Amino acid sequence: MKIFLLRHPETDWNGEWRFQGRTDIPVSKKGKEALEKALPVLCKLPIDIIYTSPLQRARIVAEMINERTGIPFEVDERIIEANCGEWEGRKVPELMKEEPDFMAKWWANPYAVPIPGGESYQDVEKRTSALLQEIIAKNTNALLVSHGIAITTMLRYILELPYEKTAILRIENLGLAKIEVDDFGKGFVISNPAGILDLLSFPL
Amino acid sequence: MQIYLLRHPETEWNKQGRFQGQTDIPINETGMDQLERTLPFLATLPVQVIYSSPLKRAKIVAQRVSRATGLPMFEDSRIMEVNCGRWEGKVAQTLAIEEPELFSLWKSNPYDFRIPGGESYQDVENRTSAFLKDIISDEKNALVVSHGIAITTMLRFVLQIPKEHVRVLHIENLGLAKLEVDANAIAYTIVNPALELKVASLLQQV
Repeated sequence: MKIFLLRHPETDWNGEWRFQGRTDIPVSKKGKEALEKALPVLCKLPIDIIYTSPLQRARIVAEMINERTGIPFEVDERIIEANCGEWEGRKVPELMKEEPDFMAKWWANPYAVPIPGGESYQDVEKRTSALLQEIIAKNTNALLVSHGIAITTMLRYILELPYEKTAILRIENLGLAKIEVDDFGKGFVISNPAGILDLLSFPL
Repeated sequence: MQIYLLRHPETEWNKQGRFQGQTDIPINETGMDQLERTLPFLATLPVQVIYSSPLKRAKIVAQRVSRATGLPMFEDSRIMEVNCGRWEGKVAQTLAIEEPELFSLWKSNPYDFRIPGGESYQDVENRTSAFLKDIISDEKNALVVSHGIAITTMLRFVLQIPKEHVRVLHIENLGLAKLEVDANAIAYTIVNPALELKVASLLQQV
């Protein structure tokens, strides 16, 4: 079975490098264009069901795939973005200027240090990994439309990365990660871009 | 700077599930087809230099990309596949029956276990990570054409995955991983396939 993890398209706050968290910012014009281009690929992913975060920047992707393919989707709170508390709406470079020591401490191990008024990565991984386990137990091929930090915690869980090394993972807007689950366990798959081209039967 | 790690196209031995190691098997018809389809995309990667394992199945990719783009290409034996010693050419299921104890040792922790007459994953990581450090200090965006286990050790080195958990990584034939290197760290980036598609479709129109 396969599980695909997809980050939402770009929002204005992404473009401005602001902490977004639970603030429900819509996809920007640029994000919508990128989504239109990605849809033909996303509509051909071999999946039975879509799970989406309740936030509109993720839900729009699930809704558009559902409209075009009829593949059902479920909203699941467990893959909502990290609660970024006092930092929501704040620009990263400003925070780094104002609170350099705390930012450094947080970034060195966001699993142990919660965002002020919000969640630690550990809090997030508890809920995201619970959903992953549930999907694996059901043995269904699924697409999860979620967020930067939420997906990072799912990949950390699969790869068993050291907690303090999590910063090493970056996920672009509409970045897509594939996980394969077989009798031997869970695997993270580095895909062939031509395989993605195959999905579209590109006459190259 | 960016480093792209690419696994070679399919060979007959891949298809049959044989330990290939440093045996110099050419790519098969499926592999050639994969290469033809991927080439227009590979030729648009923002790189300045190509490095290749000296084995045919990798070198054919580097040569084709170099020919299409005019980029310089260098062979480096440090990114050759793991030496599988006397297991080269054997099918995994056969080994599990013929040498169950050694095979299960290898399966449970390939970093510590050295294949008879060959290498452990640690031996491989020592040379592949030395190679990575060298090309990072050169500061040129690079495409690196290599092998399943050689790339696995490079990604393990970058991601610091626990050594006993390394089997979590799978790399398809022509699987492509992107590393971003800046002053502070090396990052592994999950990319948007639609951006890749855009590149390929633009090329079609030319």
